[in-house]
Amino acid sequence: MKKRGADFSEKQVKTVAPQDKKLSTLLDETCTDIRALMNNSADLIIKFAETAGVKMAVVTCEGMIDKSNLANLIYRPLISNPPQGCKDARELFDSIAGKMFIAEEQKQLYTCSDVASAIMSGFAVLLCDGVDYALSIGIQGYEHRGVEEPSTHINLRASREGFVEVVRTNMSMVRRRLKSPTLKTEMIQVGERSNTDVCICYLTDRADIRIVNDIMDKLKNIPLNTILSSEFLQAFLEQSNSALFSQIFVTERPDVFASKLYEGRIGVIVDGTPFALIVPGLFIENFHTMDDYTHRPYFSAFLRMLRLVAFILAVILPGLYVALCNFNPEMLRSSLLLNIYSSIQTTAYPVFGESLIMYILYEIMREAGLRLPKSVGHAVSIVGGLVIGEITVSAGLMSAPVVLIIAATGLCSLAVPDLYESCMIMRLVFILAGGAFGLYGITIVGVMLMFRLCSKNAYGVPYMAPFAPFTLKSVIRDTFVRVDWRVLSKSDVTVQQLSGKAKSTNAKERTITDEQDKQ
Amino acid sequence: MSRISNRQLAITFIATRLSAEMIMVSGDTIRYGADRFWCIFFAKLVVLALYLPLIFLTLRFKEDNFLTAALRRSRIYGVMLGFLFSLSLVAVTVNTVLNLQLYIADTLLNSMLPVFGFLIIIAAALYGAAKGVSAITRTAIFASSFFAVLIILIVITMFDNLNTIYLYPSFIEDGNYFFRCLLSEVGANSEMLIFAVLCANVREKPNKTILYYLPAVFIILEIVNLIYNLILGPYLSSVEYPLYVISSMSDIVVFQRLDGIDAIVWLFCGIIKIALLTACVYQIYTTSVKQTREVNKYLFLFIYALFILALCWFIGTKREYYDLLEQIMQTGAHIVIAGMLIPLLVLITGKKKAKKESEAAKIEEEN
Repeated sequence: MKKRGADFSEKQVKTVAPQDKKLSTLLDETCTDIRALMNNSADLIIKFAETAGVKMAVVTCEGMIDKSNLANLIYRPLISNPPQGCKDARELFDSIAGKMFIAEEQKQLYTCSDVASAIMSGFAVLLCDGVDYALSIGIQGYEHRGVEEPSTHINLRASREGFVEVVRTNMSMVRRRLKSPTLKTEMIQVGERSNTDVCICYLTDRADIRIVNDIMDKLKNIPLNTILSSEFLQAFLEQSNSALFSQIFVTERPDVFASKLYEGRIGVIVDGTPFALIVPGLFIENFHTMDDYTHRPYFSAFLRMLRLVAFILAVILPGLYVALCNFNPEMLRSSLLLNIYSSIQTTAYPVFGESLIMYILYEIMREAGLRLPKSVGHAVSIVGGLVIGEITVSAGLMSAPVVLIIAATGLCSLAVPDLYESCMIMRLVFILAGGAFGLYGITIVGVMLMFRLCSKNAYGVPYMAPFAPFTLKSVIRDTFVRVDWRVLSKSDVTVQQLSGKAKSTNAKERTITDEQDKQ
Repeated sequence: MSRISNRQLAITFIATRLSAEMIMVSGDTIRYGADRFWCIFFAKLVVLALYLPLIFLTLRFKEDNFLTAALRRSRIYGVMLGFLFSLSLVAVTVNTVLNLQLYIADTLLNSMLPVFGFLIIIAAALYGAAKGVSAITRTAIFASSFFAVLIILIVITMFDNLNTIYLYPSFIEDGNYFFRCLLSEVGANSEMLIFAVLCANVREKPNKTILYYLPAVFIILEIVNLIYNLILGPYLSSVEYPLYVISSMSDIVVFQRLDGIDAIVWLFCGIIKIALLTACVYQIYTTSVKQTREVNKYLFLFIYALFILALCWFIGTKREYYDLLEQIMQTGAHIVIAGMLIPLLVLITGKKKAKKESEAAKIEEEN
């Protein structure tokens, strides 16, 4: 069936030279075709040279290659030590391609589009007059950020390394942590225009082959032209429409990434972003940090419980406050009730309106402070803290309990950063429900939220596992409590072994080495 | 078809049973004294006997429920039984919505129009039914946990108010009340209807659901009854919702009284029950019309919700209709007809799944 609307695919892009044109034996013609294909772009560099009496050209893209490697691995051998005794240009070029050791990555190319693609990926392409193919040589050397401490998921005692923007560096960081022959990495290119490198990582003896294939199919069929971040892919990898909670875990830490692979998950690293994706992700994992595994178990359990309480408070506290003040004040302690009512008496708005206004003001301040230069950010903090916090209360616009509650819930939501977005939206919904129907409204929204959460399955694994469906072994192993490493080392649980997993958990079925090696 | 485990279904049944128990008005059915302890015990024995046809049905027709076995015998026969069964489910649904709305109006929000209350309850339950049986049963695990936390909180905070002086050795004092209470306890067993439909969804050994559920609910109900007697004593008959009153006396420091939290938990459990009943009706409908045409899930659920809303409005606004429905439900006629007689009939007349059909279904499920 013909698609409606405009087709934005790369195949429809009109270029001066046809993309699938074969390389000509005439060097000048080939160079003209490549120039035309790349619209004579300013960063395209074609350098001509003569080796053993045969005209050659080295095509590169400025800024994408390492210039010292270009000089040492290509120019120097070609000029100072060319192959001798070749009958014609083809034999000379075959000899260079086959016998001369130039670089680790070498590939023969036959079309103009392949040449263009190679030079844009940081390869140098060697062309020879009288030969109808080209040789791509991997000498990538573009500028990139070094390995630094991640900006999110900061830990006290775990590794200080975070992923960077270069996919190959990220792959090496994972490999360094999992020196296992079963760690398999597969590279594919996604995005018809951006041709972004995407790496899929998994342990062949622990991951489910069906999930791997499913993810691979989804990535190959992503209709986006440009992939600039891993979040672009996230929506396509989600199994169901996830407005609030994602079934895909995002991390900037290679140690977290490696540990998730060991649990039978599949990791996706996208070139150009330090945030890697892990599939499938469970709800409980939002409360875990790498530090939980370096602290003592009792302290980790305490911290995890604290995060859960913070999350619950962040979601329902303002809504609950509105509901209790408006509909069920008898539930509050008498002294507290008197204090609340005395402060409400002096304010201009009802509790519901106050909470809503304060919530919106807080979110505006957060959004404004987030992307501003640091110097201006301080000004926003002062405005927020003094003007909105202090003056609104003393001017009788807001009551002190509402300011306190919104500030406390703002802090609580930061305790679980992975769920911040969901928290923010749900808080608003709970304020509205509490304001309209009191505890009744809060319960109805809560029940619907639970139905929503419990209905989600991420690639066959229930999102609320191991609580719903309940798996006692997993619950007491590593959820809100974490057992000691000596106990953890005795059992070995993958996501496929969680109760409620849709497919078989037969280990033989999951071992994919044989099938893939045959292919 | 979503697959669930027998334990998951048993926990769901506990949540739904407790929701019904907690919104039960004392007086006729809940009284101070030892009668109710024995009543619960004997009622569970009777219920176990009533479950027998269902147990034999699941043993004879593996991976089937009464409807699929009946449909295999004759399509018209199956559809008729399915329709009759759905009527019982509709009656239970309407009764639950009405009772829940009354409970909410008495406890949480008395200013709301009844029709608005029906609408919100049905909408939430409809959402759960649309999400499927596994989503509902998973949610029930949380509801049961909330119930457990609430009971523990009540016991801890009311420990000083537990008066053992209210306990006295006795068997049955009022035979008339005992039989009324027994009938009511047996009649309040809509889980049997749900089990009759969902036994086909249970992954393995569906009978174990009953083996887990009946003893567990018996113990919990006895504990709750003991708490009623120890705290309220002779005043038990004079309060409307006993556990709600007890919770209102509980002080957990953060909140001066727990009654609001109590109401939240029962509402939670009640919505799960209505969602499950709706999902069962939907399953009966899809199983009945599967061969003829594709079923639009959302359209069906929407129409069904409108139908339930209209019935609730009609019955809920006329006291005599509501009392009539209550009387019928208390006799337990719907449980005996749909929960016992229909399975018994299918047990005698139903047809087993052919070997080829069974293998094809297994392959389809694996894929």
